[in-house]
Amino acid sequence: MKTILVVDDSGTVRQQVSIALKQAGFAILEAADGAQGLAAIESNRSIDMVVCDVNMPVLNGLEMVEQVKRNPEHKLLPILMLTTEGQPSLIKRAKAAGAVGWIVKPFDAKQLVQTAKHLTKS
Amino acid sequence: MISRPAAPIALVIELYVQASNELFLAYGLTSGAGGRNAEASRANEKRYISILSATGDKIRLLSTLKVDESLLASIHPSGASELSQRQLEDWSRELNNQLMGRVKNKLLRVGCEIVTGLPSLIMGTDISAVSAPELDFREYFFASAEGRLGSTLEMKLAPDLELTDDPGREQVMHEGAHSLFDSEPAPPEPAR
Repeated sequence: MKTILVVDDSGTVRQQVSIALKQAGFAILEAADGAQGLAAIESNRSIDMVVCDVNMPVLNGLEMVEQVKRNPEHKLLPILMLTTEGQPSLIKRAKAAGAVGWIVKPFDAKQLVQTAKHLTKS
Repeated sequence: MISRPAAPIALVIELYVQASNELFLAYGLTSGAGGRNAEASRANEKRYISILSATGDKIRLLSTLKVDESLLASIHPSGASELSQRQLEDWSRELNNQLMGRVKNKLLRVGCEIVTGLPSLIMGTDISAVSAPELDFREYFFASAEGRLGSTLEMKLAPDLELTDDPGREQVMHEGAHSLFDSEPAPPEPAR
């Protein structure tokens, strides 16, 4: 069973994403900000993918991606951004940092599941 | 393509109304007339008031959402029949966050960049938000059989704020957009 880490400061969003992915057979871990997300990734080698918000307290999503990707062990870890932001400069920063994609909320649950299956298939 | 009213404040209001309609009508709410909605809040119903500020060069905005608890619960994304206090609190903040996220993207498309703060929350019965008299503000109402939602925008705009379409400007991603960066094609959208 593949494991996905959901990082968002909104419990509602974490719940929404988790429900959609659990129903598709994924195991879910949750983190409420980028610092918790970073800690989870560093301490849990079974994480196959990350879905991450951008605007969060303590450590935002882009900063989290940048710090995660500094570790060569996480070079292939897919990190998908899920956020209200649509600003091109932020998207470019995410891509440069090593994120694999960007979704502007609200998300389509079926499409998210399809993407998760695609990104975790190998 | 939307029309461009002469004054920036009119455009900001127009964009806020668009964002509010897009968000709240999608949850099955109906919009009320500009003043009081015909359906008044139930007496002694707990209300959730979330407050979210946004600032940019020559612009300051404050978005306040006032939601009856029963309506808030009825539109929770989980569809659960019972929700904890914490879940309702979080959902109230998230609604305002999503609303201002839409406003933010719409303003970006006319050359105005704003940064949103963290949403605050107040709860209680028989409470209401009071707008500062020196600010421009607009209030809108949405409702369902479960209750009422009031959406208020307070604004302070510099007289020389300019909001313009620019075909050469980089495109802002729309709500619901889904993009993978690598060269492999993204999975097709599931059949609806």
